[in-house]
Amino acid sequence: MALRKVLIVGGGSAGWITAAYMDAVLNGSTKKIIDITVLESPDIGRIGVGEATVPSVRDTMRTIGVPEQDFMRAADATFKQAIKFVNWLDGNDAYYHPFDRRPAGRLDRAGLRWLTSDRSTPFAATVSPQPWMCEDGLGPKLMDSPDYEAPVSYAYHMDAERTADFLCDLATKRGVNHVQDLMTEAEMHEDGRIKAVKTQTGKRLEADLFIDCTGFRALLIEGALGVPHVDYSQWLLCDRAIAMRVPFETYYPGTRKPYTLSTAVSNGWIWDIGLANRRGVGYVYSSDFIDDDAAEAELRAYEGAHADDIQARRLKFKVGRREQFWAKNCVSIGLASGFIEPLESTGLFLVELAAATICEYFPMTDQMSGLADKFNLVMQRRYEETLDFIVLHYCLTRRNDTDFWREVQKSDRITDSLKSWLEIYQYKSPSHSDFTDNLQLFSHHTYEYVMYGMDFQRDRIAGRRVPPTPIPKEIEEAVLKARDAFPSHDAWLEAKFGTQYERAS
Amino acid sequence: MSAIKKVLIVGGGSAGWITAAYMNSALNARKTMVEITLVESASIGRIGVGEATVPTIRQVLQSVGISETEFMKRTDATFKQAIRFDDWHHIGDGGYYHPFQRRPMARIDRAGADWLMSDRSVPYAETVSVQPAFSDLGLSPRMAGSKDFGSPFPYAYHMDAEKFADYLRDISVTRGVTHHVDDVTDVLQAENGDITTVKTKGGLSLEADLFIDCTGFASLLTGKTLGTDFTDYGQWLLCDRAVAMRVPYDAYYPGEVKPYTTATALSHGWKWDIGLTDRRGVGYVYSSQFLSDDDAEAQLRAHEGAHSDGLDARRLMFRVGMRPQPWTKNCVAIGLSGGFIEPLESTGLYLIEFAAITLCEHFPFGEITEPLSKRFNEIMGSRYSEILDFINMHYCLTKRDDTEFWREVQKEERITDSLKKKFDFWRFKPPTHSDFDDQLRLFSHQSYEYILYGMDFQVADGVLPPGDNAPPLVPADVRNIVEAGKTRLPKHADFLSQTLGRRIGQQLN
Repeated sequence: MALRKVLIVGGGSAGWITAAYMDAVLNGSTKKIIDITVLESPDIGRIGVGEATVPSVRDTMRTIGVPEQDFMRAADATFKQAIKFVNWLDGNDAYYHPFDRRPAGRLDRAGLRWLTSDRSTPFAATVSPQPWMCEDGLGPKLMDSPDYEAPVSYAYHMDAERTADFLCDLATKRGVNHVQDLMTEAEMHEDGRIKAVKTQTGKRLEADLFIDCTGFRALLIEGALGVPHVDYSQWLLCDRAIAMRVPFETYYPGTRKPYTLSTAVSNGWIWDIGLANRRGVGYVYSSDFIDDDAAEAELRAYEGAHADDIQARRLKFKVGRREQFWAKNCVSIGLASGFIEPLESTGLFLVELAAATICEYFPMTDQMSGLADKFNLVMQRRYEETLDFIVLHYCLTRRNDTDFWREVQKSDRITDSLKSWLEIYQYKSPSHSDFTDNLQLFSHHTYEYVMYGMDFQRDRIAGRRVPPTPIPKEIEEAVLKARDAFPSHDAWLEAKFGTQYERAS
Repeated sequence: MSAIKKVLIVGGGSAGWITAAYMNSALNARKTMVEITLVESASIGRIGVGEATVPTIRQVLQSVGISETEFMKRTDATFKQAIRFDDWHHIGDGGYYHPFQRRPMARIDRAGADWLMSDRSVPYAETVSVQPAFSDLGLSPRMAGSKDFGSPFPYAYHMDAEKFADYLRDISVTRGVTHHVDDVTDVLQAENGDITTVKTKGGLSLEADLFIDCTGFASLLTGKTLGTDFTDYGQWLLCDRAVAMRVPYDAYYPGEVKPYTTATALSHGWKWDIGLTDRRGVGYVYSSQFLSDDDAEAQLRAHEGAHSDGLDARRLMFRVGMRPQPWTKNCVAIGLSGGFIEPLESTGLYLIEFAAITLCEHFPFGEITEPLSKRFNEIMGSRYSEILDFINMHYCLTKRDDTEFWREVQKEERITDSLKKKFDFWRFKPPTHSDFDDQLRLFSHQSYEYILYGMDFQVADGVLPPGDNAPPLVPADVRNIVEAGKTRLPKHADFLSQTLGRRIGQQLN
């Protein structure tokens, strides 16, 4: 039997993660099952946003089979242990959403315990050592922690373009075909499936399964197959971003933070991410409320005078998802399949999950609709879950300094499913059984971090608040141990990769 | 806003006492938040079926804070590592195991596909689990001298459910649960339908904010008082009777205590066979549409052998199905009052544990509100549907055609729609992680694979890469652990007699 042929159209992080992952899983053991080709245009720039990740990326890289430090060196990667949200509640506040959470028993009473205390210590600091570690600038790993393992959970900040380049080298060495050419049109079967993709230089690439990684252009899933886009802009107002790279040669803030910083500003929020050799900053905003020039001015003001000569790049995006992610013999992965603003760094996660799921549901025959239905359900739920979670960050705000912040609190800006959960959470704390979906990214832990970070009011429990907020002994000990034993984030990076920067004066 | 303080559990038995013990430890451990009272009748017998469990029971024991050794001594408990299904595919099929353990797999699990592509000369379960071999060898999951709950392998217990209830009663009463032995005569309701008071023959008038109905099939509060709906599962599960016997080792000792449950398909249903420390429990679950009670008893006795001639047999009737609103008003049904599915996969006590945990998670510390009860009911409903499908699968994949019963269970209308959908899907790919979208589920793709491949489920042509028809690969870790088990794990009966100090069998025959 001939190998099943897979054509991935589009490189970038979506294309190359998918290629490397599929090759590792489906061709990695004893025999080769599929023949993979990536068609990538050398002329089309990559989007390259989404430089922060979530911990699932470690499992993805391990599955692909790369040594952690090789990958980190190639991608200018640093560690991420949390997101710190600043000024989201009232313009004068901060809270952490850390990855690590100390295990509770099957019945987790930490939320209730905190709610009935005087809340003098932030919730996250009572259940995770990471807010303390982040404040201290510690890394998640010991000097001798094995690849992809550490005493606390972590992810990376990384250069998405370099990650794509690294995986391109790796995958092509392992036998993935790389065709650098521009797609011109798709040739169709009579039954509506895609038969082949034609290129500018006259090539004709046939395949059994096509994977659309062409970004917002969605050349196959939308262009060839006409699958509609489901718009999320009712609930997510931001539709623009403006981004800058601030090299450490220009300005080094003295340390690389082991967390992502997300600061709410007048009409959206600013990301601030430290890589090995530069920071990436960007402003995600709503064009209904602020124009591009004003947004750029606000971003430059945030960054400071050293950014005056740095170029800013403007991006437009459409929030939402495909109605079907897999239609006929075509699967969309990455921006072609949908986009949600990167407030919780879900971009690459959705790519990884799609790559893993397509391996699970890989079609060995042309009868694909049953597999496609299930794949679509899995991906749709991930988009819906992510949408709810991002909306949660906005709708709990009490800012009223601009129309934008007043607008996001309105009832019609909150999804129905989130509304019904917020109603339930008047009566009980988020807990294990609320999150029934097997594949969910977010759990009652993550909901609690955001809700209690945003001072969610639960009026229906008795109003007694007994001081002080207890900090479990386990957390205290973990923090002391971390302070004692963990190298700082900078020290770890310097020891492994030798990069050192002078603090700007 | 009225704070919930008083909980009244009506009915003892394993449902009542598991709920009492669990709630008390979960909600009252730091400071007393609820006052728990249990009232049970001295005259109403306990059902006491369901002597096999699933591994979740160990977490429950640990949550309640129970010594495993003491628990095992008090309840005549033995270890269970698997269920062995004999004659389900065809008479003389040699049987297959559904073990609890499975070797750790990567995120993308291809063990099923690999086995399907082989010549299948080694049973599937033996390629992914060490427990079929441990079961065949009659080994204990715990090493001699190991600590309570100290085993690298998942396991559960066989136990005397009545003694388990007594044991939990003693613990709970010591820890502050109030216990009344009395018959319930009246259940009083407020105008809005809430239950206010339970009255007893002895003149007690028991008020509470939340009531828990553990009155078994009688469903005194949920069924009789509140009149909630019952969804019948009889279309998909034909068995509605059981006849049970206790076979003391004094009368007959088979030479070992099997560390697994045996479920043998008979002419119109199946026979359970469970070894405790002092006896075996056997029973025939059958369908009264196809077999009379006397014939069923005769068949059970014949299968058991002549040593059972002098033993009493107990007959039970049951109705399979569930109540979609086990939490109605201020009353929650737990155990048989909320539903029943035949014990083919030992899910009876599991459903009780799960309901007790879920109720604590959704416990109404403030007012009782619909959001909480609705979630509880949804979550419990999903468990029943999931178990229905899983039990249904054991029957409908049979190739037996020796009786009307076995021909009937294969018919289209005897298979649930959701199970049919699963089968349709799995003809195109082996079951994997993402096929299951409920993380609270009891059965995973791994459990489904044990049954499907044990029952020779076939995938459609061309959906697997071409295989080489070689014997299945048994991974080195599986082979090595089996070898290590042979030298390091004691025989099950030896472990029990050494650790629990029970003289078992050998000396008696």
